[in-house]
Amino acid sequence: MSSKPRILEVRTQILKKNDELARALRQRFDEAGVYVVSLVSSPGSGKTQLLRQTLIELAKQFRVAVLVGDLRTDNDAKRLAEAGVPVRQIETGTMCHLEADMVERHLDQWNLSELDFLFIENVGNLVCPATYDLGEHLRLVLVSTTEGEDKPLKYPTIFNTADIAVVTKMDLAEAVEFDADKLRRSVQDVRPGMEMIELSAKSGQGMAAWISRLIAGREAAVSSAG
Amino acid sequence: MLTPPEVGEDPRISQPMHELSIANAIIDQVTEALRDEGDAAVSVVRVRIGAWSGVVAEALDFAWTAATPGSRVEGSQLEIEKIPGAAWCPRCQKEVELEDLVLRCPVCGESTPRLLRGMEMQILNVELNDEQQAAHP
Repeated sequence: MSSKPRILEVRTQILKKNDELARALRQRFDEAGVYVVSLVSSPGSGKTQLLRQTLIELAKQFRVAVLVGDLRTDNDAKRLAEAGVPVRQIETGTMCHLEADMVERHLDQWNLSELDFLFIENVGNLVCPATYDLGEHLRLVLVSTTEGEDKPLKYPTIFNTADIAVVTKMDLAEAVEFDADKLRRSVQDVRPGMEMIELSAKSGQGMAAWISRLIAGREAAVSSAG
Repeated sequence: MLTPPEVGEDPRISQPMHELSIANAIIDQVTEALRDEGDAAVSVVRVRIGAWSGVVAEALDFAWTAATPGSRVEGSQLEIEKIPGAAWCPRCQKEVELEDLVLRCPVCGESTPRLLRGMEMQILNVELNDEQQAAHP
């Protein structure tokens, strides 16, 4: 005779620990007055190039630092360090994404109150990072003109959880017959009303508007937190 | 240990998988919940995964078999309740179930920004067998 199985109710969020830690991080960032922006994209979408130009521009007026998540190399970190701002690499090894505790561990020796902007470059991947809150204020998803306008439909979750879709490599738009309206439609299909910014870090197109958008975002966050 | 394969175009097949991290997070939470439950073996762990959560049920199922050996829930089966996306249609003025991973009303075609269901990533419950001792209590 076998007894009936006993059911134990657990009723909890799978990522409860990550979510709690991300909330604590966001509060810490708010208290320090640092605006935290994360970037996600496929490999080769121009994330490091955009970030590098963004750092050079922002560093003229603000105190900026970067955390770079990378599987194992430190090439991205080296390229970013050329911008002359503090860069720290989070070596993710076999992990395909960053989690809140990895961000927290790498903040160790930084005095956050001496920073205005902190950028977090996630691992180049449009699937895994979508699920993890890192405590950021603004999540950017990058899509380049060379990637195909249906990219959002293939990766709906990352577009749905991001705040702004940044279209990179606009200098190549004509050469690759990029269809801006088609991309806009795909974005709206997975995230109706999503803000989109088109730019080229190489030619400088759209960069001034982009930098203004970041500064405005920081001002809004700092005034609402403080 | 799973090594991320080369990143390709089809996210369901060739992307690195974070489902292993998700499986480990489930094991951690369940192990904690079982702290005061003695050494009864766990036969089933039930979770709820939404279509928009970014977690692929088949990949999670596979990750479960890789992650559970040596843990408190070794030998257990993962039961995944899949939740389809549902949104509020402003034109139909009602909740509609989404057919695809597209936020558009399947009835009238209107854009449906507000996702009501489909983001779920929850642990529901576990089934314990009091007559069998866990391999790693």
